[in-house]
Amino acid sequence: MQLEDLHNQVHVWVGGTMSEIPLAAFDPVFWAHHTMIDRLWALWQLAHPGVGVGSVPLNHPLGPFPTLTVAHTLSTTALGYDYAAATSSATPA
Amino acid sequence: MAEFAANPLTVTLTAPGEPYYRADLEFHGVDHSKASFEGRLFLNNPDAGPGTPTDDDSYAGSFWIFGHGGCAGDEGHCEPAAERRAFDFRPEYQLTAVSKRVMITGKLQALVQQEKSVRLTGWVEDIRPFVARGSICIVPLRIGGGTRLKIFEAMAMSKAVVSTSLGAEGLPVQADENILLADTPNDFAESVVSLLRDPSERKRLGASARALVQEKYSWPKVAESFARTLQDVLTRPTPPATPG
Repeated sequence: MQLEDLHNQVHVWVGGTMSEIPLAAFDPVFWAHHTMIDRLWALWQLAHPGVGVGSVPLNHPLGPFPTLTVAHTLSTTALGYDYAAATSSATPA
Repeated sequence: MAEFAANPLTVTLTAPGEPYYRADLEFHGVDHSKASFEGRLFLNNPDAGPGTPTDDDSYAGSFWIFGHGGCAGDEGHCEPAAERRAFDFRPEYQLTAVSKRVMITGKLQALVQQEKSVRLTGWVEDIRPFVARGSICIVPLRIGGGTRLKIFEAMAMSKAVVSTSLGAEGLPVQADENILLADTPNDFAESVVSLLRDPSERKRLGASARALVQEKYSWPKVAESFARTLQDVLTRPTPPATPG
């Protein structure tokens, strides 16, 4: 299963405002959900070092932040944060 | 939540010359501009619909679309002000259709393994699950007799039936109305294939078949007819005793 599909599935499963792109971020659970998706992505990167991201437009700007592109968001540590399981030998929850 | 069934999609698969470890079914041009939805895939099951459970053998997986939800907002939202508000930094963009991929490796391998066209089950306690799984019922009888109850059983389950004339002998069926009759191998095969390709015709034939059984051969109808026959026998005058 692709991570995007897992992400989509939770949005649709929760339903309500979470099931519509323009409104989903108004639901508090959106933030917990996306944190988990981001964490899964970080854990996958740790498990597959050096593996590329396929045909993703790395230079695509991320509005409304014109100085940020997709490439800038690939590393959590470059953005100034990390996940506990990523830096310790503890088993991820 | 709305449910709908898409038209069956015919996919021609060519068996790869080498062993494969993964098979994906890709969907292109998927519209994500409206409500979110789950797209479920059923392989080799043209009768699959919104009610078909995901523990059905033919279920092969799902893809999920997180949609933009169509149009929503206050009065006039579809006619935005000519000038954009100063603090609205969002760039203009057009929605493009997305592609979705579903891994069907296990299911495809299972289908390829089941390429035998006839499977003998042996004795079963209840034939109804087997009849229910089939798209149609066939009675390719060329010799033999019997009361043809299996045709009625299939009809009672709203199944479209293809039979030889001998197979349906004695039954008050009407060709093309509630059954397809074909007596040569070519005609029989053509009838079967045409029904497999036409879900709406299968549905029509099946509904008409069930209506016939309900009208004439339901338990209440049969009981009523039997009771009338018994009453008739009881009220017949007793013939005089033969001297002797």
